[in-house]
Amino acid sequence: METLFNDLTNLFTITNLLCILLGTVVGMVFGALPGLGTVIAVALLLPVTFTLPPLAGILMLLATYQAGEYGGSISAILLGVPGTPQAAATVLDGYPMAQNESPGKALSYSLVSSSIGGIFGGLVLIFVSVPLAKFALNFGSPEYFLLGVIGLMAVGLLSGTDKIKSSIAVILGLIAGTVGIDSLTGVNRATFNQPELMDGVNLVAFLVGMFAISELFMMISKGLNNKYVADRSTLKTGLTWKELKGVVKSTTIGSLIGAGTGILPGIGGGASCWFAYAVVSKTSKDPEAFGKGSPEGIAAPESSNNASAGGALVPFLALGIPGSAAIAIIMGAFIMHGIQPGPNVFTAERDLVYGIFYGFILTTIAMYLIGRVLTPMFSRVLVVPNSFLVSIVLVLCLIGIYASKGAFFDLWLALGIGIVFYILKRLNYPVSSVIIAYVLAPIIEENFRRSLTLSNGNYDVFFSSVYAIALVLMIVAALAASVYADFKKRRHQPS
Amino acid sequence: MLTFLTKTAATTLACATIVMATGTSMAAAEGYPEKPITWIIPDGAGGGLDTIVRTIYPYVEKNLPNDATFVLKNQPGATQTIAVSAVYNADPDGYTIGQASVAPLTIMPHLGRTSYAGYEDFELIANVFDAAHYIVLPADSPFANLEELLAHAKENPGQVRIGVDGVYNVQHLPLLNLELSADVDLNEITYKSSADTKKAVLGGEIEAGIMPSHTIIGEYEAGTLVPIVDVMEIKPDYFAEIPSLNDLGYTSSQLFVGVIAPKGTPDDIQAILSGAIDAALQDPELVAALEKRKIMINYNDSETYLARMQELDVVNKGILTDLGVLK
Amino acid sequence: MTWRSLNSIMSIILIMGGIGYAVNLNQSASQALLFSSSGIGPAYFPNILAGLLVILSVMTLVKNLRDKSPKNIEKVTTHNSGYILVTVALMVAFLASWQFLGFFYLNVFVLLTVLMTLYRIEFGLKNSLLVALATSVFTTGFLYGLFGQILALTF
Repeated sequence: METLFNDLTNLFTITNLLCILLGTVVGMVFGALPGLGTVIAVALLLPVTFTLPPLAGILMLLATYQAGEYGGSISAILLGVPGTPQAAATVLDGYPMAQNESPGKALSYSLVSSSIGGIFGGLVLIFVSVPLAKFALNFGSPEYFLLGVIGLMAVGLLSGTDKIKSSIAVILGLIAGTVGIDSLTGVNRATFNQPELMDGVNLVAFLVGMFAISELFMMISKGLNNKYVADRSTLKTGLTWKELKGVVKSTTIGSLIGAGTGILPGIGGGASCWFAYAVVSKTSKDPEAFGKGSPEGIAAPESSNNASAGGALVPFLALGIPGSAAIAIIMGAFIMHGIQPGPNVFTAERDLVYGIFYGFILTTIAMYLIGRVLTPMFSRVLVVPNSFLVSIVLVLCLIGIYASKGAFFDLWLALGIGIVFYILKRLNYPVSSVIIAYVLAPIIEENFRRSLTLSNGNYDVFFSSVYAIALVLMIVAALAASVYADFKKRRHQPS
Repeated sequence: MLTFLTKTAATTLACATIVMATGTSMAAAEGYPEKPITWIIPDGAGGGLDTIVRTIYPYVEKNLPNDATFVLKNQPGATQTIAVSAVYNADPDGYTIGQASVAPLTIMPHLGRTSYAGYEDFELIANVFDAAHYIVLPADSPFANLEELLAHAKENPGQVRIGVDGVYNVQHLPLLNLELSADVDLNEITYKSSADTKKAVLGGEIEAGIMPSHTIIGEYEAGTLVPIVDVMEIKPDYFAEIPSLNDLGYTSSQLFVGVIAPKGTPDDIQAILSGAIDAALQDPELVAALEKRKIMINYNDSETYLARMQELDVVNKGILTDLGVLK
Repeated sequence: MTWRSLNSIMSIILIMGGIGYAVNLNQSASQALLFSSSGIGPAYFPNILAGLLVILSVMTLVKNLRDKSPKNIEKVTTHNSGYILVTVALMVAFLASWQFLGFFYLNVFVLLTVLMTLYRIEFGLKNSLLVALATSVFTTGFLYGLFGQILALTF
């Protein structure tokens, strides 16, 4: 108990608290600005941390990371433009709820479930990080491949009414995910001799083009001097107990899935929100409401995003393996201070590690409190007429793309993608499945081929561990269930 | 044919600029720098190399005349060749320099992936630091050293799996060279990053992996990972007792990162920059900051830097020729 | 243009995109020298994907051509389509000017002013120009302060 007390006095210093506040505000604002997002916010704050004591600096970055995960959903809900890839699933229900019901309510659902997810991730970090990190090592290339396949099946569950168009959307995402140097053979794949494409299609350019630029065209179409919200009372935030109770189950599922996928380096928040969304939408009592503004459809991906942030710290602190781009940058802050994350950090830097553990919970609390203050202001964005909103968001998007890699090529690419996806959207192609397919494509393909290289071409490798067999069984079961459901549907509605 | 023509044209142009530059070089350095100097970083904001340059640049500024300032520009991607191409295309007026590792200068050009022909198309200002990469075994490995690993691989071709963080790069080429010279067939497994390799070694997916020295200090001390041999020439002091490939009778590779400038940058401006980097790397404050991060500072002046680059280029070209990549 | 023709054009673009992707892919993949023991090369999955894209797009195309329902042969109407085209044109001009001439903040200022003036032209030129100028000055100043000064990014 004494150590705990020591840690807490170290933690509650003015510097630490101020740093957490600053990080939270920056993360939330950058997360909310389409195109900028968590990674850029963390990267930009990194140099600031060099001058701070280690704990304060690291907590500032963690607060930025945590708040960015929530901030990304603010623009997803208000404008239908996810600020970060992790918020893409939130668009499905958050945007309709904000449009048809109340933006304030949609943001509240998001904030509450994000905070709960964040706390859950923090608790996982405090109590089980070491055993969990060791457990995560059991997931090798074959298991990652199988997880990717499950992810793709989750996308299938979300597909729209036109099966062919849904499949085309998924394939477009997969194709975009294969562009660039093949990491196993060094061959250029469909790079059209552009060095900028050698590392693949830039995620930020892809995301902004697909969601933001095409959505801006939609907004112009809706009327330039319209406001989204005429009735200011719908901007009010806050939820009733009854409303909260309605999302308890989905928040729990989301948190568990988020923390579970977060601990696997490389899978991360981008995929976990879709897993959570798919599971919750299939187990909900009211599956019809999904896609039309279901509170559960907001709570599930939101809680999983923030739980995966805590989860991602597990392999990072315990093994020194950064699980996401943002964590890789936070690792820079550790190294700058001469701290090497890994097995020794728990003994060598005991105070620091425990400071981070409890501080992480603190960043979640800060996120909730600042979220409560800022959310009503953010939702007021919708009172701004489109003429201002479109112009300013457009410029911010372009800045975000350029800030991510400094390449003009990406800006032109985003413009092209924006135009094509605007037309695809109008033709009812479900574009949200494109982004998850894009994220999963390398996970599936590389791990499949790597597994076979590991086994010298022997397919037994996919049944070589308990975890792999369990995942295979899950895939088979899910397939069987969907075939059965299809069969039943056909018998009941002969057409 | 077209590429040949453009290359010839580029070389002619480069020669012409050199002639012109040498003619005007006396005047060029006077008052230099008159405006901010752009320093191109081949890494994204917050990346490993980015944070190193951001640590160093204020000290270089301090040692330059005329209140010099740098503007840092991040141009990551394509194994640093995007940034190096940007340096190649910049005016050789001393107002653009770039950071570069050896891969974009001695490997990528041979793979035909660059607009420039090789390191000869640049002025090599100064080397800044070196890095060491080790072949690392898990704690429960049946092998104690490189000889045992290679002996086992010789008996079981293709069965010993070694993780590297990419193909035809600074980890992959030395490994292929080792296989050629020891006449063994290893199964090279490619991962996205050294962190992924580390995960695979710890998880028992592969028998060994190549990783940068500074990322495994914790595991080495905890006994979970055992570095057995340095594939690079230079060793960090914390792993001083572990042999390098050279020590064991094979050929070590080299991994060094320095500052380059467009071909034809006036000589005296090069000298000013090189001198400022040298002075900066002796500043105790900077030395302490870099040592804390386990960076092996290794200042080489222009001549030594060029000599090392030439040597490595010959080696890498040889490996790629032996592999049949280069004809 | 009707929905039917727009749908067809998009399907044809997707088919062409799929073919272009496959051609470019196999050209560079044929230069592969490194073969792993997996037996599955760099072009294996992408070729399957390109094939699927072409087949599915052809299916959509056929399905769409056979669909002669009144909804499908209705004309595509886009409210404010002129504004969308102007926005695209301005973005092209902005990107080109920024890339080839530089002066990022000046370009941002001009883009914002022109966009907002156009978007609010229904309030009269004088009103919209004044409001646009004021908003652009403020926004550009804010962006310069945040990105140029505080975060020291160069554009």
